[in-house]
Amino acid sequence: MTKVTKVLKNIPLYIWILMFTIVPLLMILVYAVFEFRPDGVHFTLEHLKNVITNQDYLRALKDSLLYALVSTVICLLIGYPLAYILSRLSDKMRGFLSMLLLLPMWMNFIIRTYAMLSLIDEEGIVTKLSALFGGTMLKGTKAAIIIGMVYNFLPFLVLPIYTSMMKIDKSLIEAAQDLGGNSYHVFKGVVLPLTVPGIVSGITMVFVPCVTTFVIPQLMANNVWTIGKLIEYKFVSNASADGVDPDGGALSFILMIIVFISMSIFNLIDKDDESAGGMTL
Amino acid sequence: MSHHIIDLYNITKSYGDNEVIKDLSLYIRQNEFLTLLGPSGCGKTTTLRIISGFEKPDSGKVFFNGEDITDLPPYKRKVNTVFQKYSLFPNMNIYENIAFGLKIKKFSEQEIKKKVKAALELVELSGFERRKPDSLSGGQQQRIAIARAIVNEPEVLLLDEPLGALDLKLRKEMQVELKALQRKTGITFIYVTHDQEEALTMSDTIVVMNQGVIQQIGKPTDIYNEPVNAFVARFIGDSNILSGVMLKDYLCEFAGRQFKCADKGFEKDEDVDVVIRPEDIRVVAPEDGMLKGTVESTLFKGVHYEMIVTSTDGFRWKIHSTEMTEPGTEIGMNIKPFDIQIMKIPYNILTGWVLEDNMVDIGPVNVRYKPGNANASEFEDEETVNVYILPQDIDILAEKPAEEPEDGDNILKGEVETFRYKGDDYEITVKCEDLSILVHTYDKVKVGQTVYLHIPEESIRIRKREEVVEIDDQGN
Repeated sequence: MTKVTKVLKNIPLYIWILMFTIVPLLMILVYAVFEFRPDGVHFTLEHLKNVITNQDYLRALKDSLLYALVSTVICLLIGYPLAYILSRLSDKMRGFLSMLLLLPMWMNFIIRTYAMLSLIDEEGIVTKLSALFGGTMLKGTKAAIIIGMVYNFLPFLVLPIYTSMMKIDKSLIEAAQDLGGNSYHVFKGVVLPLTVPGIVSGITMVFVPCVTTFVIPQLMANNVWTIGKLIEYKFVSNASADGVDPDGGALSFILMIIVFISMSIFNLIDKDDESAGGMTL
Repeated sequence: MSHHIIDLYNITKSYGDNEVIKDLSLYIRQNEFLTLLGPSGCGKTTTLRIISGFEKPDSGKVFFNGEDITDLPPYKRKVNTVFQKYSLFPNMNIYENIAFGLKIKKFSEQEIKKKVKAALELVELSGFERRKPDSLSGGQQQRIAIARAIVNEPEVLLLDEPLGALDLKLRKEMQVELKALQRKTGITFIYVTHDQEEALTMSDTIVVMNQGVIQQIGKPTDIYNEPVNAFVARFIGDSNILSGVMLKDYLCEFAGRQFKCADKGFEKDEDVDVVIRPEDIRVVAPEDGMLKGTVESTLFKGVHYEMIVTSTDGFRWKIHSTEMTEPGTEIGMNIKPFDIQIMKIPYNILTGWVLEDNMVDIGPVNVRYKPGNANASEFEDEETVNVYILPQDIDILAEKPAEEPEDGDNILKGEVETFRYKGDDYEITVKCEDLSILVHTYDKVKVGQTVYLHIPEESIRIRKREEVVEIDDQGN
């Protein structure tokens, strides 16, 4: 195949990337550094500066990262053992249980969150049960946000880990057992290192939407400000007739950079592990 | 007599309805190179996995040095396995791979280094410590897999078709190396292969298996020269297999005439299988031959010529000769008495469950047996037994039965799987659901044809499965 036909064949892909990745990214940048006023378009770094110096914005950013981190860790603690158990079941059982795991995802994300909310609001069964033991309502607390995030994003973490577990050749596990390894040795020496790629992509799939989501904090605890909620507010709720609040573009841009940096760190961990390949017993 | 390191007693194993090992008993002596040989699906790998602990037998016992290890998990057994696909850990380098077992056994870093170095020297791959498994060739990976196993100094090394993925030349080299390694280390090797040549080259003892049953155990030369049945003869090397009749001691009849032979101890006029190796037939002038035939084809095989010769009775002989004979030539064939191997015709051994009213369930159907062949009262209801049926006792019905066969009619529907002319009659295998049944018949059938087999009541013999033999303290 000549170079030209190769390029031609890829044109649909290039168009897709241009339309739905490059252009939107540029638009975010444009909204961050240009002001659209009736008297024309003005370049300014004012809004970027505003975002990184405004204490309210910074607190929202810090909180968002914290909720996302805590939710991801909890998802990992629940999701990894879940994926492990799932991968060791019989074919029939596995199909059934993984379907159950995915079933809630067939429902709309917002409806799912409302359903969760109805458990923890004033009338919710969880609230009533916890009242029996002197507990308080979860709705409106930071814990509610974390519950919402874990509930919604857990399947996204389980699936890539489960896939990487299923890909492990059974004979590798047998080889480890054959060499005298008990369940702990097999897990530490073979299963865990070989599922690191799954863990990294699972974390990515949970962490990023957790940082950026606005629906979950809005519904679960409306008094808490997260970065996602701020952006939504600037672009949608607070949008005026003469255009959007220019801080919104700057916020989106900064958030994107932060997500990009955190992803690079995760991927670095993955690479590190591969090159060291280390097993320490 | 050497010490038994492993004893298997009355092992059975099924996957669903498929019984892969039927009542297998076997012992393995210390320091021997034992090969489990058979076609795929014969149960050899399952037997190996029962020894390594990855499979649990449905019944029967496994003893190691006289100690019952049937319920011991794999990681507690003093055996190590070289897997078919090498199964090196891709996340570790070569050093870490070999050190895996040693680290678990809590050797000091110093000792581990020394042992890994020695193991790499043994497989001639020194200096590969830092390499990753996927940067090695198939042959090198295989050696690392061997090093990883023997560095743990196992008493028994299990090898599951370890050379299967290598090319022919490398495989031959590795055969020699493995044998040398076994001599050098003195470790007992249990080797699984479907390659008869590999088995003959390397083994001290060969166990030939088919359909979950041991066919023959013996030294390579014994297995080759004196196969006990047609299956072994066919599986180990080329052979001519004919139907014959043992007229009396040292005299048999096949291919339309009588021959002197070296066997005795058969019943008068007993039906037998006769095996003659292609290299044991001497080509002579037509008038000097015991048998006459016409050369159909001649093929040069490097060291010898392989000829197909049709004798006057219609049997097609395979003959190896160092001299070239043109196709179309009429020749005579001579066979020496001790080159004629006489074998009993093997029973079909089926697994059955004893039912009431002299019926036994053999899987596809329940069949009736003659009360005299087994005393029904000595079996428990539903007891698992071995059912023996001689191939020549089974009839093929000329046409489809008018009515659908019922239990007790002793009629089985099946499909012809293989078909072979044996000079006098035909030997066919018929697949009836999960069973594969050997039948001798004078009728000509085609492969793939549907046939109805009738098993006469009086030909069905039923035997109890032997009880597990208790062993004494010496492990004998």
